[in-house]
Amino acid sequence: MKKKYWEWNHPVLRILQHLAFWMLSFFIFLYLFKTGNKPEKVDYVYTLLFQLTLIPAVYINIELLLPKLGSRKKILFYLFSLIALIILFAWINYNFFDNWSAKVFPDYFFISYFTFHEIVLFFIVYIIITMLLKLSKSWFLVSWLQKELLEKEKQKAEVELKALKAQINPHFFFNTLNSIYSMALDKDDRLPGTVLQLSDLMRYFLYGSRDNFIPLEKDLTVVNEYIALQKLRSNAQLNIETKISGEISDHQIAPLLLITFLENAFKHGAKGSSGNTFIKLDIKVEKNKLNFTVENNKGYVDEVKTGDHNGLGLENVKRQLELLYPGKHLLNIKDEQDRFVVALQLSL
Amino acid sequence: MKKINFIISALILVATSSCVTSLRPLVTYNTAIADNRIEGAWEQEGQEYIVQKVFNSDFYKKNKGSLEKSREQNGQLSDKNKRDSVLYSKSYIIKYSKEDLEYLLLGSMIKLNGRLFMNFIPADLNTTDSTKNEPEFNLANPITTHTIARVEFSNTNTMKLDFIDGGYLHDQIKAGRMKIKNETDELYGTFLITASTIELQKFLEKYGNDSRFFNKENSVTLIRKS
Repeated sequence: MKKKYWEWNHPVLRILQHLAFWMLSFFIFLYLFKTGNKPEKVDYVYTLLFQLTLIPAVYINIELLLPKLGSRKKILFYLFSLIALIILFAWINYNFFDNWSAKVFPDYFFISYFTFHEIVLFFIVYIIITMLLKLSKSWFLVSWLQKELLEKEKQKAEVELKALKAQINPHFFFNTLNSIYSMALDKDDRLPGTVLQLSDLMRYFLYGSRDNFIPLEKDLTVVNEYIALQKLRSNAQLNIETKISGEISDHQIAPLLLITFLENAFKHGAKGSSGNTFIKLDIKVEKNKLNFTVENNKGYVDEVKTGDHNGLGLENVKRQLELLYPGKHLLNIKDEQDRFVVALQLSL
Repeated sequence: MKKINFIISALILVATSSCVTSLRPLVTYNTAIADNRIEGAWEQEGQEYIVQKVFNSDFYKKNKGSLEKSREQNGQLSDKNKRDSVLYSKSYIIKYSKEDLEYLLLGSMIKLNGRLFMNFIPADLNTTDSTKNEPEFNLANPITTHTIARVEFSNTNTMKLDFIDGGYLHDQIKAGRMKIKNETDELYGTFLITASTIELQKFLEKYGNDSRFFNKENSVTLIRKS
């Protein structure tokens, strides 16, 4: 199972990481400082003491100065503080080995084998190395958090998408069932065929739209069935022009997108019209781009009642586009006095 | 052989065989100081020592001609000779005789942490017996080693030389308690300090007053001859 960042950053692990760094540093110094062919006791003591003067300077910088003064506004103050810190601890190092150590370790004989400038250089190198390690760790944390955030956003989007689909399906079916209800009242002979087509559509909605993407060809078949369904329940006054062109095979599309716009055209156009109504549908696929246009004239009476679900389908489909085609879609809706035009361009 | 004999004898006569020797000098031209209290005739257990400033010494007078030859064609001294001149101008020749031989040491002094130290190197070896040939000795010998002693004046007539106890240093190095560059000859049990001049100076600045470094057996007290 993948470990979380906080598990890697557990206090015990952090202490072990720091210990490992200083141990490595100790042995590098030991072999750098040793006098003979192999390190002697005094080399261990000397190296340990040398490192003990480095450690406070390093931690004061990364735990105190850097977090408190590391911002752009305080950068000058930080640099001055850092220089003062380095000079102070280099001075302590120099004097410790040249003077004070004889009192603390009277049985070990050593001096400061470096000039003050060389010790300052040691401190600068260690401050830089530890700062780079700290920054790389912070970068690691940030990238980890970004990854976590993306994961969460993806999960959120999936949950939202499922919820949107759950909203679209009932919306479509409510409208269609309302139409069938009207046909039943009119004792329309086409009712059985309409119910069968609805049954096919329901199968598609229930089982075919579970995936985020389906073949475009399949989606366009559903579009045609839907139009046929609407034609059956409409009368001769409805004038539907359908034009589908281009390479429709080998492309995928999010289910229910196109049909939602089409449904909207029928709802606000055909059903609300007093007569001479038209719906023009144009679908063109060119170079991985789908251009979808649906235009309808508007009726003077909108049969659809205003309420909680009014316009919900269009809003849902807009949200669905944002989730599934971020930066890859262009939606243009023209709501004019006598006509309604939806133009959608999708990068497939 | 006489040369080797001289180096060893010189050290034995000045102090004891447990003096430490260094490959690098403790005193350089830019750190040397002159202290004229050291000049004059001194005596220790019947042995006489004559101390003279280099440029006032018989040794210099004798070798002046060859030193002048070292001048470059334009009459100028080379940088090395200039540095040597500065060092010699503040250094002393210590002369003593033993068994028909006259030993000359070059002594240069430095003050470290308020204490005086002297760096000795063999300078020359002459015979006092006219029937014998002059022994060979070359000052420019690249393997010349340096012996170091702390110098203390109780008064103007008493000078004490505390030579660094080589035995103690060797023991500390062998026990892994002293960090100083050295070369040890395991076969003969001898060792040579190979630390740089700066390190030697820093070591003596720090431990120059540590009594463990200066054994009484390595101490010589010289009394000024009236």
